[in-house]
Amino acid sequence: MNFRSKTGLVVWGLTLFSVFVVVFFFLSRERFFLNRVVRNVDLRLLQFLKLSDKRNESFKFHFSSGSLTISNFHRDKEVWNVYLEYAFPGDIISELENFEVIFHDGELTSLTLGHGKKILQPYVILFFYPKERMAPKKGIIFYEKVGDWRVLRKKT
Amino acid sequence: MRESRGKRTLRTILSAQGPFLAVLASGLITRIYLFLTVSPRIQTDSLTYLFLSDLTTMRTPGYSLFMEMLHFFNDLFSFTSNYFGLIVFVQVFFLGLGNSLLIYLFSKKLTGSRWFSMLVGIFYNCNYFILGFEFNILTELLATTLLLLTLLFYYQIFEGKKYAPYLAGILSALLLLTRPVFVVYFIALIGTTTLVHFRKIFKGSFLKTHAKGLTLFLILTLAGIGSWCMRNKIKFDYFGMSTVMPLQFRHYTKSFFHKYKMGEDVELDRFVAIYREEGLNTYNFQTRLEEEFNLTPVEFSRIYMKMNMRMIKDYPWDYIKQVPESAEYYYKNYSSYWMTPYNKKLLSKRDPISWTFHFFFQINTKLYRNLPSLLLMVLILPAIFLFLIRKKQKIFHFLFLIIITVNYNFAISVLATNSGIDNLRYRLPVEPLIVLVFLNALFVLVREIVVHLKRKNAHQDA
Repeated sequence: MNFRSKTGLVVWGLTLFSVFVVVFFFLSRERFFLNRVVRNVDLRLLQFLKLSDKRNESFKFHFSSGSLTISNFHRDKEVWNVYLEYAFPGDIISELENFEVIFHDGELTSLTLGHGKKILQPYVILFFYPKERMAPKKGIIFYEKVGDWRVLRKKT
Repeated sequence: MRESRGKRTLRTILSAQGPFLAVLASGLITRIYLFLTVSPRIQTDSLTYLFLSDLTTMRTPGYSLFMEMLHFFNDLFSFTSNYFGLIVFVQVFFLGLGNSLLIYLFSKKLTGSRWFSMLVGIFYNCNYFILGFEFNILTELLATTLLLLTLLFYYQIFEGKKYAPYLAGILSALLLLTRPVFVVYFIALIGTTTLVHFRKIFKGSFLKTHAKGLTLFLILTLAGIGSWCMRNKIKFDYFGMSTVMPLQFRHYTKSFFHKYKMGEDVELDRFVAIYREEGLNTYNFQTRLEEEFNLTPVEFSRIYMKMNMRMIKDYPWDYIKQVPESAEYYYKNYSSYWMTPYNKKLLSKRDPISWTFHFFFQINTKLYRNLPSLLLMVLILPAIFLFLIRKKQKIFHFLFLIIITVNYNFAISVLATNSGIDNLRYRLPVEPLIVLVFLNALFVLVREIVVHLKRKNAHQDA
């Protein structure tokens, strides 16, 4: 490969960058999947909040340890129909079992834990972490009063 | 006193790259100002691009791929938890700024003047309509960058650059995968080249020189189309780029759907009856068809397309008479709609930058909203420009490609839909080119007049 030609330089640059990315991926696999899960959950929350507003519908997020199930409330039959299931990749699990978030007409209307048990705190943090080591942790904080959520910046 | 070496170097850089650096600086100033003021804008359409795995036959994957790529690096290197902020950052400081430099480069190619091109670049950096889209999670800005790059590299095929066919082909494929409106754009490009170099193609060595490059470009573009069509076929049993067309046509047919003639197609009549029962509401209509007839979204799209085409076929005049209004929505407006919550602040004249935005916003609004100036901008001056540079074949070819691009987008957008503000949105990818041609045409025209007058005076003096 000729380093002096522009094309050669670009090809070498891209190759080196690709190798760097692959090595970095294998070194920080856990962190990558943790970030990925939290990001996907955050974006799904936003997506369905907006959809519930646009369609005047209700959506429920049910978190079990290794997956998330999103259901849509069927008004005529009065049942929750499963809309989407998302299994967390890379052995990532969520800390709270059976944690539920409900969106109705564009608002977060309910946060419950277990079988419909209402959360009495002003906020709740849903942590995610790799199953084996339980670290690093990254979470999403849900505010009951304002009906909002935010991804926590620092990993613990 | 002798000038120091540092000062000399600076002077050399400034004289050689001054205009380019001025465009870069103005772009950075306006964008940093906006980035600190404006939050990412998420529209309903934005939600449909968030997950690549969610894409149905309705959407093409270009923008989702772009977001997934950024998210991948963010997940890997843990840059930020502000996911939309990251996308907007890249859109503003890489795509948006890159577009302004491309516009500078295009202008330099067309006029040969670096200083005038600098003004065009600065004008672009103050274009509020375009800047607004840099903060929206929508396909338009990415499409603009891909369109400008496709044009540039396609043109470079004929300058004999070896890498050009590969890049032009890949970028053209990415472009049509980002906005399916560009699915037959490659035909427009090749058609324009054929028209411009008609004689050389049939009598000269044009084909011998450029056939390989053009074939490569064509193969790569077709590979882009084919790959997505195949994916749709395998996953949804639909061989096509997108099923979005009936959703566009419905805006046209809605106003005369009451004229639908029952009795010619029993199966279609049944669906039309449901469509009417649902008050011509597409979402409710689709939900009912999927629930009652167990139809897939692709099957629904086929039926909906058939219904719309039937209406256009049976009542062509009702369709045609709406086209001028659609064209008006497309052109005769300059809107701040996509930055609504920030307009008061950003167009307030409270500081030099918002004053600048306000000033250029007023100019653009006047240009687009007055019919004479609009016609001058999109029709008369481009035609004069083409005439003035008709003898410089290379630049003529480049300009013709740009003008065809602008009109291609216009024709497809206007004939496919008349959905109000969305029509204006469809203009965005070619907006930089419209402004570029207009300003360049003005400059070249004035330059020609000055040269002509000078010659005339010299002749009289002699």
